Amino acid sequence: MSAPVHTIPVAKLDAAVRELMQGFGSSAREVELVADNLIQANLTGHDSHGVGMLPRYAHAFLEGGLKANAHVQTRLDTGTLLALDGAAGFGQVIGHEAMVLGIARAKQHGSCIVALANSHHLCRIGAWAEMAVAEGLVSMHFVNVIARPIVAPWGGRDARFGTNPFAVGIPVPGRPPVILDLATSVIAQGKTRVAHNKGEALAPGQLLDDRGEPTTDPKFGVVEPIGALRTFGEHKGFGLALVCELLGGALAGGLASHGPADGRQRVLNGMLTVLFDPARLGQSALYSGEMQAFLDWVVASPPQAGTERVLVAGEPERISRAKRLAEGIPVDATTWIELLAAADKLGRDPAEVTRLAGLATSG
Amino acid sequence: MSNALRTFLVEDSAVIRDSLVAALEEMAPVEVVGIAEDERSAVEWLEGPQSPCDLMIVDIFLKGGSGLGVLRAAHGVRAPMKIVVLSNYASVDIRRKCTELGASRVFDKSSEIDALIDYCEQLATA
Repeated sequence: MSAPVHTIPVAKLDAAVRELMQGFGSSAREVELVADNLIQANLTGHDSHGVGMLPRYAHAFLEGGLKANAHVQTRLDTGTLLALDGAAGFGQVIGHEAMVLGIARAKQHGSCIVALANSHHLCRIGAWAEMAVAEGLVSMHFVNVIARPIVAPWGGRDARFGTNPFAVGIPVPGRPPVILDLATSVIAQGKTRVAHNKGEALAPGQLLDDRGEPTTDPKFGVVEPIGALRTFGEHKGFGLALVCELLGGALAGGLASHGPADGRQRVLNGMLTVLFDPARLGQSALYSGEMQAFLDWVVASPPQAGTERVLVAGEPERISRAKRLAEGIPVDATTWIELLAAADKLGRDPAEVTRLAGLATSG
Repeated sequence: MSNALRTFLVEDSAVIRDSLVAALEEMAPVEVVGIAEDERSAVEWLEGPQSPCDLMIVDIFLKGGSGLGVLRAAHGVRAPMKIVVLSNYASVDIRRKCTELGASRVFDKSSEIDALIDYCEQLATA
């Protein structure tokens, strides 16, 4: 049976989220950065990284694993190489501050590598790529996840690491940027939950059950006993996940996954970001023309049955954003209950959150 | 729904209660036959003449009384109902205490609504 869905206008959802965020004791700036980042994730269609993260953040905060009002700390600065520590602060703040620092250096020197360790959940990595391309920079992001492992290595039977995302942002003169943002698992864990709530089976090849056997039953991604997601592209996705763990985790100075889950709700991310200014490569005219020509060429491929046209990375998100800005953001019923419970737990009135969201209240 | 689990809900937040009733009835084979927002009314219902329910979902921290008192009172009811706890404070201690008092399961209100719905489906088909 499918979950009933509330469709909430963006401004109302934003007001409701800001009310809940007061429970963290966050500064006005932190409230703004977190609320905006989560709602942007919903707008782009990535509900697994949207406002539904807040209950998890509330757990992590109350356990002491997420620190409110923390700021990025510089551990090393060689001009074009920055090593930063996120101090377990809100990833929406830490990621923003790290990118501001890295972007300034890349504009000054032509390039910068930013090794960010120990941020709390950096959320949708594409957001950081979007921030760089808005300044005309190319950016590449290798990210690891320190939380309960949920993805199995290719050939393995159990979960050994997180969904280790990889993202690239490329500004394209005269047209929207290319924003590639992908988890290295074949699907997000949130997608197993969506399928579970709809009572639908997953496609083969996405999930292992708790014994390490392939399954299409989404419950092994949602309720105990939990199985493991598989990497996309078989051994190739595993290879990219491995590189994200080594570069984003170990090399960025944070933690890498090893050992079983510690049961804590915090989600720490390490992120290695490579930023450079394409105009400084000295061949920007050629770069621009060839890029346009390739993009025109690739989207001209005749569409397969069931496909309207070829889309390039970043386009589905722009389409979703336009649609949801006009129509509102769908929030499923279980996510909404968990948000209200999280507000209550943080000492904010669930009735006020409901009222701000424009949803009916009883009594 | 003919085989719906007749369910009694003890929850003191009206907006959470409304959302829960709507979600449970939509997503699981559940019919909410009664609600209480404090310990006293929940116990009164348990001791009253109503026909027994199949499932009782109990919040622990209530504005009036405690869900633990509801669990204790349920011991005296002979009906073969299941009792589960849905709490915002599902710590190890709370889970242990609720289990000792007869709760079949304890669910975290801000992260385990899916697991609760899954439990209801399994109970209805058992």
